Amino acid sequence: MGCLIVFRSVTEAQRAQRVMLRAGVASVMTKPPLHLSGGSCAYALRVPYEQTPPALASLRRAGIRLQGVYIREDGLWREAVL
Amino acid sequence: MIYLDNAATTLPKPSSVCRAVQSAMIAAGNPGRGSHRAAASAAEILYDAREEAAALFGLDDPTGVVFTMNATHALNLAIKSTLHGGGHAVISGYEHNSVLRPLEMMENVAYTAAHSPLFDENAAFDAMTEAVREDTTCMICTHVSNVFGFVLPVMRLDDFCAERGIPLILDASQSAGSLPIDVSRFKAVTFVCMPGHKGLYGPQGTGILLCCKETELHSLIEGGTGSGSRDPRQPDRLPDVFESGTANVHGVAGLLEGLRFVRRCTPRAIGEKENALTERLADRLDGVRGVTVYRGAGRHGPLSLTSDRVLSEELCARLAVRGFCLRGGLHCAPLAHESAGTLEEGAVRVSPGWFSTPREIDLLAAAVREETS
Repeated sequence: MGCLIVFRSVTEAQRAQRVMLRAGVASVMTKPPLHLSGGSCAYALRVPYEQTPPALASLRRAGIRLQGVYIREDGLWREAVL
Repeated sequence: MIYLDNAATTLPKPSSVCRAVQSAMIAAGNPGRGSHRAAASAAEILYDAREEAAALFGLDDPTGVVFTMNATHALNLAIKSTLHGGGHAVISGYEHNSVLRPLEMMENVAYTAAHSPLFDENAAFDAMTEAVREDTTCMICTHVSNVFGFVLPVMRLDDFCAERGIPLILDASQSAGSLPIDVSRFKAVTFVCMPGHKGLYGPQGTGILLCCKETELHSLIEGGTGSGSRDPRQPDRLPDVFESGTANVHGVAGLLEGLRFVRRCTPRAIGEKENALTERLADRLDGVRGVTVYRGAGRHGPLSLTSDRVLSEELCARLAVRGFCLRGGLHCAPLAHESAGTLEEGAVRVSPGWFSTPREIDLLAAAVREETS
């Protein structure tokens, strides 16, 4: 099902999406479920599970802060241990 | 109509700018306020424009590009954030009222306007650096005088400020889009402020604040940012800290195309074309009795002139009847006129743009000769 990388705003998600794309990782922007958004107006990037490590590495290199990373297991989103 | 008032706003705009504004008004929603197609389209426009501006001005992080209403708005954000806790500012003797008036209105803020003779770069540098006090909190400098085209010694001031840890705010209202600006070369410039509708060929009602250095940021207005909604406090991150409320999406859509236009033409080529036209006018008016043309080494962009027979606003009015669009008077820059000695009569400012032609300049030169004879 893949991984959901959550950001605080649409601008931060957009920046992350383009940084990841330049690293060869395509993603889809979406609104995360409310309980993953910290009750805020967060945006998320959906990334294939196997692409998650290079995606996160590219974000670390660019100094982009995340709100959270979640993996779909048994029909539920669980916070990933990084 | 012969439009030579591009220092006020560029006209006409490239057709791609006009088309983009119209398309955005049909298809773009409210960015950051949903994940539906219209909201996503608006968010794409804004982020594409941030990336385009970052690329044009050498800024690493596109989130440091803040969209404003105009350069005045950008300057107010930069000045009021930097001087939030009060302090002393040094400004050049060529600043616009968009610098002067915010400083006048701020409590606990003092400032020194460093007057210096026109087209004397060394004198401008000396006047500004000698005005620095122990409690000086920041320096504010226009890149190019909006009246006379005098280019201030920004790189030397940047070095000076960096050595002393003083942040420098740059007003690029008359240089953005017509002089190459690479913010990665600046050491002390924290903010660069510019209109979107002048040298960047975007629509009126657009401006840009480039945030070049990590520094404490204080908002001017607070409200919805489409982020952190549960937190009653204003977000402290860029660009949200400075961008409350619904963005001017169709304006930014036009600005995006303006930025692309400038990158295609290159600021250097645009500037060279404008300067060739103003130098042509200065040559045509050289020796005309009673007309003073303000030209000097390193001048860039607008060219001003005065007549000892006709006041500047009267001369503009007469030329307007003949179809010429120019600006007379003080150009919202009394400091510049005080420095240049033209405060009483003002000046006629001629500012060609990318679409101006040598023939238009020659027609103006002939008209000025007739109206001042």
